Amino acid sequence: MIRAEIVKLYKTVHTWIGVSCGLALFIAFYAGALTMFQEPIARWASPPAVGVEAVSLEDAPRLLELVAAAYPEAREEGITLHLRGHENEPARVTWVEDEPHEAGQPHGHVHWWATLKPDGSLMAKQEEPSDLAEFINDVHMRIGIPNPWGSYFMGVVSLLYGVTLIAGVIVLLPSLAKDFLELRIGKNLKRMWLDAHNVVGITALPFHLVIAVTATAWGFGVPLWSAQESVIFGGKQKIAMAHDLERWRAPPPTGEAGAMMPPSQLLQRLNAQVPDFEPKVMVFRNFGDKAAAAKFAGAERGYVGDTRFGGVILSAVTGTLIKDNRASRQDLDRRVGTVILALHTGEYGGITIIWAYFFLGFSGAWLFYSGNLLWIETRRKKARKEGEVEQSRSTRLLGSATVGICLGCVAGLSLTIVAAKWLHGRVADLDAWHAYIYYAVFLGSITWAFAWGAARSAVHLTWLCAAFTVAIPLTTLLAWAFPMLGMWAHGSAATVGVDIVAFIGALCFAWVATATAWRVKNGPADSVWSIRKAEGRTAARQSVAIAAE
Amino acid sequence: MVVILALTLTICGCACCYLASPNQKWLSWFPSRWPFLAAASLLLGAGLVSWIAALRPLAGFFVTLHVAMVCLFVFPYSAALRSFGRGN
Amino acid sequence: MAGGIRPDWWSKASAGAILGLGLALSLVGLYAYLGPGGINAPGGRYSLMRHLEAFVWIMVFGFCFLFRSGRAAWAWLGAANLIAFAALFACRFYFFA
Repeated sequence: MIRAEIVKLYKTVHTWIGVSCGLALFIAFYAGALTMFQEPIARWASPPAVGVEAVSLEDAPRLLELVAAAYPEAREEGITLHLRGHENEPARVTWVEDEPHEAGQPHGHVHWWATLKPDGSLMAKQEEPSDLAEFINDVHMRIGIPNPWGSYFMGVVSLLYGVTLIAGVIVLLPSLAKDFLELRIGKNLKRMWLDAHNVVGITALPFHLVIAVTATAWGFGVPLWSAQESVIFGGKQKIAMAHDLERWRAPPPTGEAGAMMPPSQLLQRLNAQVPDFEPKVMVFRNFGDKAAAAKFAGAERGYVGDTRFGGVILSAVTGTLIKDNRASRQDLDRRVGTVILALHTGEYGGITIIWAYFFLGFSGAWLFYSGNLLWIETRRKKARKEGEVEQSRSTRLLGSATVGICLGCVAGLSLTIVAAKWLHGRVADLDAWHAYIYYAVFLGSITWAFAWGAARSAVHLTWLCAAFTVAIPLTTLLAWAFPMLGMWAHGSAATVGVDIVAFIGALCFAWVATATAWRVKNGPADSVWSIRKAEGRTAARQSVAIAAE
Repeated sequence: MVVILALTLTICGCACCYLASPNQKWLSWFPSRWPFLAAASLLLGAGLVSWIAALRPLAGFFVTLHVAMVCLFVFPYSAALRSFGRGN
Repeated sequence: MAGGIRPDWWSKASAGAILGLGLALSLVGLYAYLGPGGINAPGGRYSLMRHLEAFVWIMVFGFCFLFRSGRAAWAWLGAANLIAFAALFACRFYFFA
């Protein structure tokens, strides 16, 4: 049995790390839950375009030839041929070019797509795709702090999160068997928040451990890489890495022209040589060259973590397999690493695991939110024992910070999603606007929460979350009903799913807002969650004054 | 098809697990534990086998694990929400 | 462990953070040399190692509060670091040089 003093010690560790890191982790988990639907969100936010279907796979060779002839830079960088017909794939063929820059300097990229006109000639257009999904992912990875400091900050936070997980389990161990799956609703609010916190934390513990370890490794990714190189490898890591990267690299061009195998035939050759591989896109490198290659990014059915580092390369001339990085062909180290990575990103098991991770992500956000509530509630009890009714400054401040940061993040992300449709074509740099809108709402909410106090602002801001989130399906509805608004309403299951999930989410926020409003009015007065506090305090003072007289 | 079967088996297995817990709040009375525990292990085992059949052993194991994690915190919350709805 | 545990927050936390990282690097470094294929093994070992390091670091940091005092944490973890780094550098500069 664990001694009481150890439990007490770890309780302090758990509390202090929890309170100091909880808010950053809330943002990371909430945005992380949304990134599980990164692709549907990107599809939802993408304006209608000519689409992949405009050019059939049979006509694709002609399109590829025209693009390769007109845009030689694209041949080298790679021409992507889309296979799925998603809304975020503007046309059958897309490619990326470097912006004009001085050699060796950091630079941006411009995106192109191309299709065939009815007369069979080429139509190419430079158009930047929506970066909304990437922005949400940035918020998830660095809670909006610029690189590299955001990464380091989240590395520290993730490390402490791992420590606090261990501490939390040690604190919980003595009562684990008795209280497992227990959630007591009732008058004892501290008990209730504690149960609500524990049940989420302990059931999802394996998930949280994996997230903590991987997030620490990624947050400190660059420094750890350097430390490995200097302490362990002594220069050999760079060689190993170059050797490793060679397995994903297309062969260099020969300069001799070669006849390209049509994409439909390449897909047949892929199927014959690599069964069970489901390609998402194919990328042609050095199109038209004798050494041209077709890279297939995709997943191997049934494997854990096969989209990021998987993939195969076929010769675009003969269709023979030249590089094979499928999950089933990876070396043991790579395989274990990929599995660990995929356990963070949920890249396995299809739609089931996407939903499971979505709920686990929300449960994580809830874990940190409820942890802060618990801290405030515990402080309240202590305050009452000492006979004072007013809450301490620290609980009021933490209450405001919790409400402002958590709800500000939720509302900001919802509104920035909505902006993808409203601002498209109306502002010059939509990607920058996504950031402006998110930060405006986020910082505004924090200011609001400190100005109005946790209790009042919690009601306001939860309604704000509900309003911004319901604006997602309403925007689609408006776009569908009034096409002259210049917005769009896609009909695919994935994008309608975004609208439906947002609608359900908005209902949940509205329900929470109603419940919060009830508590603010009728809950215990000696709480940061009550607006009766002020009146109660003056009443208490008056009675004291009367008694003194 | 086998995915739906596997998902149903896993969720039912977790439901039995929850009902076997002395802290369950779905029923106002406590059923005897052992039949539910036996059913839970059978259902979860069958669920795991179906996931493995649908995917591969490693992916099947992790999918079962993560679905079970979600179920095990959703069930207590669902019971808590119901008691909120009743107004206690 | 008679006499109870002293909290010693800062000295224990610094031991966990600093010596935990040291132990993580040295132990995972030993895996890099002694694991299958050795230090020159082709493949994705260098990227797996980051996750292993994070795991060891979190574990050491997490459990270092169990030491009786901050001094004990520094002493034990320091000794473990010395041994692990000695083994690592023996591998790097002597056995597999």
